Amino acid sequence: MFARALKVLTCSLALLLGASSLNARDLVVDLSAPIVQITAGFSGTELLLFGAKRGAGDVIVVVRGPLEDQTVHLKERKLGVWVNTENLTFEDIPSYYWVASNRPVFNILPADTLARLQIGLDEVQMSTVEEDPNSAVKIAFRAALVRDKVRKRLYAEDAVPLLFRSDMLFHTTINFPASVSVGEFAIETYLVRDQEVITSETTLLNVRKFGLEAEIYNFAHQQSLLYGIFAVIIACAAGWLANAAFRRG
Amino acid sequence: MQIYLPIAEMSVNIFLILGMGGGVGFLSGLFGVGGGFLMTPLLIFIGIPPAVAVATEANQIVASSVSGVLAHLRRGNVDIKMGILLLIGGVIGSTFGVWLFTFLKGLGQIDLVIKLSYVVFLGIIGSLMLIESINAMRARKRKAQKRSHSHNWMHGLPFKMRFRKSRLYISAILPIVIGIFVGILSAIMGVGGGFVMVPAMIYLLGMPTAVVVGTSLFQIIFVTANVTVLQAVSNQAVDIVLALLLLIGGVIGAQFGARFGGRMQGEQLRGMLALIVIAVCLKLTFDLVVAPADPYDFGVGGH
Repeated sequence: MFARALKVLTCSLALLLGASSLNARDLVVDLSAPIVQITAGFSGTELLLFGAKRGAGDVIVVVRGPLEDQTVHLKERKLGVWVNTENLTFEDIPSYYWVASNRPVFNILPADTLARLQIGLDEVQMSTVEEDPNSAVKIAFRAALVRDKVRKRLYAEDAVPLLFRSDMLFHTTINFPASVSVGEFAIETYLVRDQEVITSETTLLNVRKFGLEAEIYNFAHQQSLLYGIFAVIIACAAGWLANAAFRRG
Repeated sequence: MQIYLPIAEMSVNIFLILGMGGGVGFLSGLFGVGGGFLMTPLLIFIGIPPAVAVATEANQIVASSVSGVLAHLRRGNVDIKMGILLLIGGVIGSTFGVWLFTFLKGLGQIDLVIKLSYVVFLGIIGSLMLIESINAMRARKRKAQKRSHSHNWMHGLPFKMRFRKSRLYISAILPIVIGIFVGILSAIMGVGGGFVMVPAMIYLLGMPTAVVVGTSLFQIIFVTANVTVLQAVSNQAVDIVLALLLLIGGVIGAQFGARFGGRMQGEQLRGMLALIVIAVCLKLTFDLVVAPADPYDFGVGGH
């Protein structure tokens, strides 16, 4: 907790010193780190997002992870056993989606603006090829997918508050679970006054596997045949070693 | 202490995995089975994606089988000729099995097929073993003489071969067919198939028990190696880090298990193993029949 307070303090100081840049812009945003590195000990992480704004207004932060396709299966009981019956694939949905604001977003912006900017879990665009966009089936599958993402802490809406330090400074923390996808994350920060977006800032964040983890992953995906053979050789060597070790003991 | 698995893309407790490897290793040393049929469901249970669990477990079985077969080779308990025939079948079967696995994964039914195969085979094998071991315990009391295998239709098949180590003169088709069948199982279920292979060799082929385990392990090495490579190529699902952790625990556990098992009677061991097999089977059946918490299920990717 102390470390976090210290981090906020240093970041705030850095911002105050750089306040001259605020003269040119109404909104300045930065992260405690520009890269999230997934190493062997990675079990999720949190980043501090901090910034400064000029004048009154509300702040909304939206984080979107790299796009992915997700298939949702519906289980039904057939002959007494639960079987996947129907399935629907959502294409190009954000693998990670996270919203924070100083008060509920629907009090800050009108519904049509929220929909246009895709702010809030109900507004994330999730399109499918198979079904027409407003069918009851699609709505049910979409709700299930969002529920699952929230359960896995990959989607969140107002899970962590965005706090104002003064009229000018604000900060919040973004949580990434261990199952976070790798790739480019886009963080949009909106400054809103009187139900209108005054300005917005885009910050990029890179999440990537690092060190041995990255090498194993790339090896497995880029040279999968060699990787498979390598895995077998390691297993044979380990088996032989085990036998030799215990024969002596 | 947490460790991030690069292929499973999740973080697990290192001691939990080592402990699981040790526990299953102990049982496999005790009973002389690979333990894949226990480990794969356990891995799925702690949240490893089923595809990764199956592929990685195949890789771990390569290691435990190499370790086991070396011990049996020294005692001269491996019928290489029989092993090679089983192996020919095993390679055909496991190649087809991995293809089937990829196909079913595309249909979204792979989880169901894995679970159903487990329920069916564990149920059958568990019950048969339990009956057999109870009978053996009774027969032991009566000091009954074990009859040698009887002649039947299988001995009329062509391509007869002589197997010196196994003291058999049978058709080459039989071991190849058994190999194909076990190969398919090992690709889909992520098991070595010893729990199917061993009874098949004893009761169908009539091999002497002494050479059965070594010969079964010999061919399991190659079948699971084939599954590992094919799974790596078509599903990129082999997690080396997970396999290594399981292996370390497994090797140590197996040694303790083997020492402990030396002090017990064969029928009692088989009876206990049968009970464990039936327990795993009941647990999996329960999961299939009881309504899931969320009827929706999720997977990355298209189709």
